[in-house]
Amino acid sequence: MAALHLKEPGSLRSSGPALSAWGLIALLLGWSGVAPAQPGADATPAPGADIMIRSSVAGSTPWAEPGPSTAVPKWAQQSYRIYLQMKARANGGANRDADHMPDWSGLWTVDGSQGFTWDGPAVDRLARGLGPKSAQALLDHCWKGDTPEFPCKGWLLAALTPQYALRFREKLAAVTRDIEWDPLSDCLPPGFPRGALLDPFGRELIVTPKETWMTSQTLNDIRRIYTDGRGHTPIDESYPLWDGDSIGFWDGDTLVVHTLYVLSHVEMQRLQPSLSDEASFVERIKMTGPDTIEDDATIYDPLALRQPWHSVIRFVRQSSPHNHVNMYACDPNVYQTAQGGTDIILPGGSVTMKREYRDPSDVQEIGVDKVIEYGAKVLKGEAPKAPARP
Amino acid sequence: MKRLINVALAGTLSLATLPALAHHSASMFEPVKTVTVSGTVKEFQYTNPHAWLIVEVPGSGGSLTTWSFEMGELSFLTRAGIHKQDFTPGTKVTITGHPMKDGRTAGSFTKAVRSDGEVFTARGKVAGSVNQPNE
Repeated sequence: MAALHLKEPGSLRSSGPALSAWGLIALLLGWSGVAPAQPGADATPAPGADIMIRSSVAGSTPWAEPGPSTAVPKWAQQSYRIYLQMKARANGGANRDADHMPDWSGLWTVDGSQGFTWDGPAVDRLARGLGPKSAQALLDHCWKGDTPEFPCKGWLLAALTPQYALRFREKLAAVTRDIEWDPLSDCLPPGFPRGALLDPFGRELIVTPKETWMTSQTLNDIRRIYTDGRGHTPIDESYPLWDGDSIGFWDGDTLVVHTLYVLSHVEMQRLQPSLSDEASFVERIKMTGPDTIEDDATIYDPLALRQPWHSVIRFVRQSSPHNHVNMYACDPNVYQTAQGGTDIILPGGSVTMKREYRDPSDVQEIGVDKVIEYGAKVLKGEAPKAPARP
Repeated sequence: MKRLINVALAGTLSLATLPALAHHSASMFEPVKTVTVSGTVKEFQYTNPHAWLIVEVPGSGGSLTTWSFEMGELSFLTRAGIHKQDFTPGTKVTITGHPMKDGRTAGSFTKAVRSDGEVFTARGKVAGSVNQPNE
């Protein structure tokens, strides 16, 4: 398949006729802003697409110059095409000022019915939990013998590819023996989508015309969604990020977001399947009630998923009078064991740990792989007995 | 206060209690067993990402054993109506939790009953629990 060069005319946000023209072009092309690529086209600036983001102070220098490239890698083109179609239907997105933004103020949490899953209430309550019993239930329901059956109705709705189904099975098998990877147990961030969409902790949603921040008090994590018209980070400048690279636009009161370049492996939770570093996401976030926000979100991942994985994540606003977000670091007494599990140091206790070099770009992959390796041995009946604890 | 330890099957954790365990793997705790101890509050570590309730439990011959119970993050606790003054040092309390798998004297908090009858669970203070019989 030839590479596609995705271009976004830069003047659309300020010109009514241009908006209409873009919509017309989108209709003629069947979707928006995509033309067949020429070899090397990703590096070719798109005329008129350069968006300079300037201070409101006259004469000041630009604080950001995102550049002309809005190309995305081949693996993200399906999701990006859908995002651009949404943008075309919204005539390029609303150009809102600070006085006319949705009021998403306050302290929010993920609705408790979500559990710790992407699927939320669509799956069994046990499937939304954590720990060995839930892991065993997933193993019992989603495989017939050695054959995976995904989507696994009522248990896990992802259409996993065989490779990632096997990886998931090994991960679950390890959890049945108390071996499980969690970045928070190693003082690492939860990452996207876990931190922003799945963890049940306090968060604020800071909405401004040019950026929306989804904050979490866990490690003070801030997921930034740029709505200033910029494209994604150019391919040759991109690298995996804990929260990915997110751009968006406003379709009325709905924030539409495209995200890619999420740190591999994408670990959504301890009992969720791994995603690959080719995962990308399309979200439509809007208020659905005075104190509720819904994020209609879909994951695209050509390596891990045979078809997109959709969910609606629900946030609820907390109304207690003294609520506020308090940043906190990782738990200083929780640590990842040499065997790949998690343990805790109690008052008066101590533990001797050996740390080895870890490639920073693979730090999560290393942790997960240790679990996967152990899980593979469990499935083959070769796993050593669960490691003794201090 | 007479030492009381009772381990029993208590079913799986409810989703409501899971936030307390979501900051890190909870694999060090028994998910389906509970332990109950009675003693005196030594310290209530009112801090994030987890509060810890530490109690001294009297044993035979006058010995004291320290038990530590991990609770949720403070925003959960405050929303649930659990405050610093609820467990000041010296408070007599009976605590239930999911014990450590390796037998260390600690657990994941599920319930506390103060000697005055006030009941606290992972969901929060139980309304109208004062003057109820202690468990």
